[in-house]
Amino acid sequence: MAGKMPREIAPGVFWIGDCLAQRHKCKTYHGYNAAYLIAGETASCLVETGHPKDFPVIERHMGELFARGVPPLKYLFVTHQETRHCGGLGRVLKTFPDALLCGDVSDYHLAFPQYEHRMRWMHEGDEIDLGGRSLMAVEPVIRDLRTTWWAFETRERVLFPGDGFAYSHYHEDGHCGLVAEEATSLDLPDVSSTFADLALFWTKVADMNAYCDRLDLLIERYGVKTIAPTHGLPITDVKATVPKVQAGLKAAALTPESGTNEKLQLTGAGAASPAV
Amino acid sequence: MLNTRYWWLEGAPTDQIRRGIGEVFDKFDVETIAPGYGCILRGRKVVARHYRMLDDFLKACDRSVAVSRYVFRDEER
Repeated sequence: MAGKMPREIAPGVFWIGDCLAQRHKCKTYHGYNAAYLIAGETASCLVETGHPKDFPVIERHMGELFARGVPPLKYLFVTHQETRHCGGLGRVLKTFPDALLCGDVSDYHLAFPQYEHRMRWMHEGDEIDLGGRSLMAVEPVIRDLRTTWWAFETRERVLFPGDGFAYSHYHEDGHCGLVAEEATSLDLPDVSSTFADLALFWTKVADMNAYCDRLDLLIERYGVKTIAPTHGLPITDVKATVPKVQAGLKAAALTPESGTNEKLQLTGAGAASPAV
Repeated sequence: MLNTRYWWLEGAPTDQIRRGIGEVFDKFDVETIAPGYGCILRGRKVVARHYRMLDDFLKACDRSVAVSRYVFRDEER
């Protein structure tokens, strides 16, 4: 997928990074492990760092964008403290010495005490000014860790939901690098349900109707036009696609969790589940 | 637990979780619990007390006695 990137999913919002391939039920499941670069008039902000293995790809993609005139990287926003979301944090801060880390910055100073002075706490509604547009911390409706924040870009109305809208895609069907509306053969409710079963296990036991209702409220409140998830395909038609993802979450909640032992029987030794 | 990683437990089918944990303690004579985040629990009495506390908490969260609902990020219970 990396060859198709950077891809501009909304004016000045660039999708970068690579896929993460894992085995499940004797198939290769692909999930995105996306990062996004938002270009303002005076500064740019990287949302998520990509998987640690992807830093060379992320760095190359950002270099291409800066060469095209995108303003320098001044901010890094990560949704939460999990490897697939912040695993490249140290290398980003080292490579871009003027960049500040923003969000819920719990614990990062323990791993990177040398960068503690460049960490900035954000609370709900706080905004990062990029010049002509900003990035705001918003309610993380579907979250992996308690410390999660989602982000919302105010000019093009792009939502960055981290582990929200997480689902795999079919590499064999050429889905890598496509947005949700282009991947016509993708059974979105099914892959959304599978991802929930394997990675966001709490969505199997909570009332997902309540969480989906809250998601609808958030989307309506901010007038979200584009959704840029870390693992799922970017959504450019919110009205048409969000209900399909929600159907997957609700379906997953109605079926028993596959469970660790059952998973091992299905996939064989060495199989991995797509942690979010 | 509701204020940390397990905000979603209230109203969940915790009877299944309790059965799974119970099977582990039935099968093994646990002397020490070494969790990823909490303190290390050493000695059978300490282990038994903490197992009971966890089981009581999970029982109180079960969907038969509690309702699952949306929980806000910073909500404390």
